[in-house]
Amino acid sequence: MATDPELIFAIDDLIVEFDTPEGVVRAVDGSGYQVSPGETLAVVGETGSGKSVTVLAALGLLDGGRIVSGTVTFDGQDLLRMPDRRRRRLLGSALTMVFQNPMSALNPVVRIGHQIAEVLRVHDRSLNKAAARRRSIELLERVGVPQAEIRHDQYPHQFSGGMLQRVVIAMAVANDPKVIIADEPTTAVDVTVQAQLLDLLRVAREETGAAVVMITHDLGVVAEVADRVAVMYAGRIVESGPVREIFAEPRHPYTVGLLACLPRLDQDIAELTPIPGAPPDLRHLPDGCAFHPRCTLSRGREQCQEQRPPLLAVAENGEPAVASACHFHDEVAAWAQEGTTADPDENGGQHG
Amino acid sequence: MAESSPVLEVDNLVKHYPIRKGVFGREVGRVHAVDGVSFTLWPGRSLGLVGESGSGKTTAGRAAMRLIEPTSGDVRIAGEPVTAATGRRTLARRIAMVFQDPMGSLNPRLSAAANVAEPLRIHRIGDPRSRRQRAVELLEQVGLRADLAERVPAEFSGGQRQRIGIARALALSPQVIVLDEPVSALDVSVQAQVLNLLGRLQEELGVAFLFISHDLSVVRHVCDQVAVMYLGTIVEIGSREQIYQDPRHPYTQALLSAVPIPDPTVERERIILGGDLPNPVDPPAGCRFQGRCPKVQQVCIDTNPELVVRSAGGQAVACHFADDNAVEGESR
Repeated sequence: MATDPELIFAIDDLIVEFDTPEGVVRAVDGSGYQVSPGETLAVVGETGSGKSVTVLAALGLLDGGRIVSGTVTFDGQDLLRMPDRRRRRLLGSALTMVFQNPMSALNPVVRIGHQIAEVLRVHDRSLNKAAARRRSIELLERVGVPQAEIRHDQYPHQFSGGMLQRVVIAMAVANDPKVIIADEPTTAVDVTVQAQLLDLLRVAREETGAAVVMITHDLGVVAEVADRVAVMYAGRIVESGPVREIFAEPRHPYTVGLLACLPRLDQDIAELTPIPGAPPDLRHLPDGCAFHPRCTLSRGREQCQEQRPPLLAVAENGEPAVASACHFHDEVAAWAQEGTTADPDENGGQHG
Repeated sequence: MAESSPVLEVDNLVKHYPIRKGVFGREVGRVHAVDGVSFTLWPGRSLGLVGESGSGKTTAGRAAMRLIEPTSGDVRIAGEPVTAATGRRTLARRIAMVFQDPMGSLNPRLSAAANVAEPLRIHRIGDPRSRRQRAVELLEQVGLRADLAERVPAEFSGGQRQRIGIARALALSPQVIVLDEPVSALDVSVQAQVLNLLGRLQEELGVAFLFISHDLSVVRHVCDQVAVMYLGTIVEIGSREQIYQDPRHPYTQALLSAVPIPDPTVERERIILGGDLPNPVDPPAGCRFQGRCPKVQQVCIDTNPELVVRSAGGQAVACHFADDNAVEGESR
């Protein structure tokens, strides 16, 4: 997989563990995905699903924690086994990131323009001061920062959150990246600003031809921006495939549940169908399929409790195929049709 | 539920915060956090207060229940005026609150049952035994088994903690519950459980909700009436159908069009607003939305549009051009 030249960025079978006072926690348990140039992959999951840890570990940015195994390939190079210096040069030029909090990427006491120029110089050390200024201003204009000449000389605290995120996006596209990784880039901003930023990221992808990995908890954002989606649960990918196919006919009970429990802006729903229970505690993951205690398709079947289902392709007719990590993926469609009524247990909302 | 008198009336509520500078604390400006907000809440109904951060929705909710003292304005609960002289104790029996972060609003050292019994203890209702019994009943009512009653908040999941917060809000059988972003901190799979619980409780108890949220999809699901706030004022208010199917204020229209819909087959015309929410310090004289409005005219800069009822259904819009703004199928 990882050697396919079509894939610019690939994570394979990554395992990441953290040491905690209560023992070892496996936050990422054999997760992986691939992206091709010009494609947007959304990685979606709830708190603790490992969606952010996967990518932080892949880029060598993990704080604490250790990579137990796995490979990460960027543009044919092994990212985990290259010298730190070389990896750091790649990050910020060919492989760039946009985080939820733009302040985590910016220095509060350095003028915005200087910070952009710094990124430009990583790529082109011969860039002189005047040229760097000119290009920084151009970039600010490109990402829609008004009065770019004035803004160029200001400090981060003089910007709103949405404007700062534009600056970070400007830095991310400054050196014609091949891959842009955006980790919850719009979670901290209001919905009207989110619309601006998603639009900006789309334009950035079109202009640079980069692959985008968008990490989000918001299925609305997934539907809006992604070509393909990977759904994570308890450190693993449980389903992946083209967005339209996954939303139209999910093949994993967790994906079915996620889509069914959302209130909709465009529809009246008499009663939401919640997923019973709560996301699992990673310190005490259940045996077998991590989702089985919450799964109403499993209905206590032994296979779900004992064997961990691998992520396997389920539809071969078109490509790229849909893959599901459910023993009974062929039953999902019929089960979803009849209604995924949750058992009215102590955690469920019972009836309305 | 067919009672005909409102349970909460808020009339021209204003909350300004002075900005002071220098050693003498000279007032150099005012933050217009809430600037003349009025709404009416009916028994057993839900009013959604929606807006982006800085719109004043939380301040309005808190000033309505006098958690913060408003600068001016009238609040009546079940017809009785609430003033600074109305004791918190009287008020607390009629109006309760559920906060976004249950971890921050529950006492971490008290058990779930003790947290829920706390309002009863403060109001000296019953004896310790009857209070505990009532607390356990309330916990069961929100879907928490009695055997969990002695655990402390840290032992519960986020969704369960929010249930405890809701049980505590119900303890004094209030007529109104103000819910400030009650499901925003929860994962979507758990959020649905809490939303269904709120719906069931409202049906069973006939309690009215003032539901403060930035999430327009959640508000559509929960509320019968919706008020859209922008920079301290209500720019549009109406029934759920009116607001979601026939929004007349350009801000409401833009807001609705900006919400991502979890369906890749839905094609929509998106209105992308420029800029951010402006600074609420000494806002502009004319329409507050003038700086971001795609339809701004000279009159918008000169005069502030009043919130005027535009239709027989009672939909009120604060826009000079509200009647021209009808767009078919805008948010569908």
